[in-house]
Amino acid sequence: MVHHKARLLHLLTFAAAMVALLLVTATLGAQSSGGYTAPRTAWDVPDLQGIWTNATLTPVERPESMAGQVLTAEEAAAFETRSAEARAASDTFIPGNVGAYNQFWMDGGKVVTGDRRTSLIIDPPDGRIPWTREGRERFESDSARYGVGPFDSWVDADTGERCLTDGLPFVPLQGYNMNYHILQGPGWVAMLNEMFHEYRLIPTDGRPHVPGHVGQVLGDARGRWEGDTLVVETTSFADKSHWLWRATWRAARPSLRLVERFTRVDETTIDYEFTMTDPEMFTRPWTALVPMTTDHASRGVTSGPMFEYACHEGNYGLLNIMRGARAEDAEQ
Amino acid sequence: MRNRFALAAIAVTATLTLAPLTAGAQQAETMRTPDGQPDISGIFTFRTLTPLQRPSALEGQETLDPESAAQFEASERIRLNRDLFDPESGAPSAGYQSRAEGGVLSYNEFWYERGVELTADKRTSLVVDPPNGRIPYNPEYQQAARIRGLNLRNGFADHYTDRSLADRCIMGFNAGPPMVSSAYNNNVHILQIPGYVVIVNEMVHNARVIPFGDENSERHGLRQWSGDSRGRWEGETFVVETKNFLRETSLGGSSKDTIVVERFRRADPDTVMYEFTVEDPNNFTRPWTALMPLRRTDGTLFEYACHEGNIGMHGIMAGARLKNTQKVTSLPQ
Repeated sequence: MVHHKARLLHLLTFAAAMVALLLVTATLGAQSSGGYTAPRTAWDVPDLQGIWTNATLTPVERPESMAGQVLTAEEAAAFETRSAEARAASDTFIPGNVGAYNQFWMDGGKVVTGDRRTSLIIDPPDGRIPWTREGRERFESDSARYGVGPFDSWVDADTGERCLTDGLPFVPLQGYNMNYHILQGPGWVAMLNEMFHEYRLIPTDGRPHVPGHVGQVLGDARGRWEGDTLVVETTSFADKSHWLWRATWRAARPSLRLVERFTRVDETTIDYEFTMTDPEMFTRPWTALVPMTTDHASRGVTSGPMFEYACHEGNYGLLNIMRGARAEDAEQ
Repeated sequence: MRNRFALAAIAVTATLTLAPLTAGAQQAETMRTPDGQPDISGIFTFRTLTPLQRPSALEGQETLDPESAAQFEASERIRLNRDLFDPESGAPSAGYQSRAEGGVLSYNEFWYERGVELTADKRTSLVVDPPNGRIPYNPEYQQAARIRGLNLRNGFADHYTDRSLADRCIMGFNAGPPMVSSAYNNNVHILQIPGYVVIVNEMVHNARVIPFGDENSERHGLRQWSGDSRGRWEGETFVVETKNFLRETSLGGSSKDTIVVERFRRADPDTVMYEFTVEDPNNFTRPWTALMPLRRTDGTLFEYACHEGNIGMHGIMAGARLKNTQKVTSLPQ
């Protein structure tokens, strides 16, 4: 029921806002307004530190097979069981199929979000990305080429396949390494993403953004505190035409403005909410809520310290993709 | 003899670390993080013209007087300037062979941001111990390293793992540990957090999250490229001990058994003194220590890129296939 909180932001009439507010108050007793106050650092800002995971079975977008916004407890249990069976089945060798990693290497979430939502997207209420026509065309052509090609150059592979990045925001899509170490110093928040050994150093001292032409793949992030919430606004994404075929909505574009909100709502939970605004790709801003936890066991994933990440060295996958494409060229 | 060396080393270290600490040192003493730690945080540059090891031409001279220092700096700026290299004759003193010997030049000067001045105390080496300013390699290692170096310079490689960690975009250059001033990206962001110090090096986009305190003292035992770092406070100094390296380290010429101890100490509002001691029973006859100032900079760090489009590695491997028959296996007597 947490989706009511975000919907509140977008309701325009006072009456509707009042109704939603009542619902929020009724359902979110544990939020900052109702009891829990995040611990404070020595310099008196909310303490978000720890190694957090956002692993979950709940998809970013609501599948068409799920009509409602929330599953019943029985539906959620059945969904989790089906997912477990699918994981077990994926380890079965199928002749003629080269396959990929087996489940030993995977560390994905085994349960849906605690509120049993059917999508991480909470706004719009249909749980779907509000593509513009151009955005949808791009999404369709990008996803059609993921894993298929053409592969005339290494830049024809996805940035993940190229060991560069999966980009922002933090979403549990990759099946493993969904861990984020958050550390805070006065005026700074550091976030180390286990995947790609990728870090963000986010100043919270009110300094201006760097000039827009300094594009970076993770953009230029600036943080601020709004009450107990860390708000991170990121702009100046690099202009990369070759990006994320399999999740094109995450592609860094100069037109993207990303706003992330980190709110610690209890000892082991951060409500991580992000809003994507990009008039070229989306007809309206849209928002997802991804709960992060320090209780890894509750999501069925590995806990413990984070170690070094390795990807590009010995990345024969990319070499073989290119080699396979050359062999296909020769056959034509 | 050994005692005299040790005394000299103590004297040199004491002079070098204490000399600049006067009014600045008093200010440094009052710099504290909100939770009361000595403040070593900030964005710093460690670029310097002072080389890691003392050049043989300056043997016996630990520091230079102002006039000699200015002369040395001026001549080094010319010697290292890529735009002044002649592609035909190369630049042997900077590691570039002549064209006749197969040498090719690389980036022009635009891409470099090395130090242009010696350290403030005009030292001729970052190494302060041993007092001769030279790394005490053991002779067997030195012999093997010279052979390897010759082959590397001549482009031999059976496999990408024959190349340096820097060529492979894994570690190397000045990413540390330990950090050593080199050609560019000599920048580091130190972030201080209760229980942790985070050291982010611009080079290779490397971040070390270093825990300290009793609850964080236990090592996990896993070997990693950047080792496993654990910190502790000794008075005003943050001490980081790193071991459990995976194979060779960021520092050329050290093995996986290397132990690096780094010391960070605020000298004045604009400076953190950085001292590191390297111990490696395989390659060095004794531990050695270098001292390098981290100077505050107002810049910010940007993203770093290395491996994508690293055609250099591909070119090296392709070139090596052509040269396989010429491989050096022993030094000429």
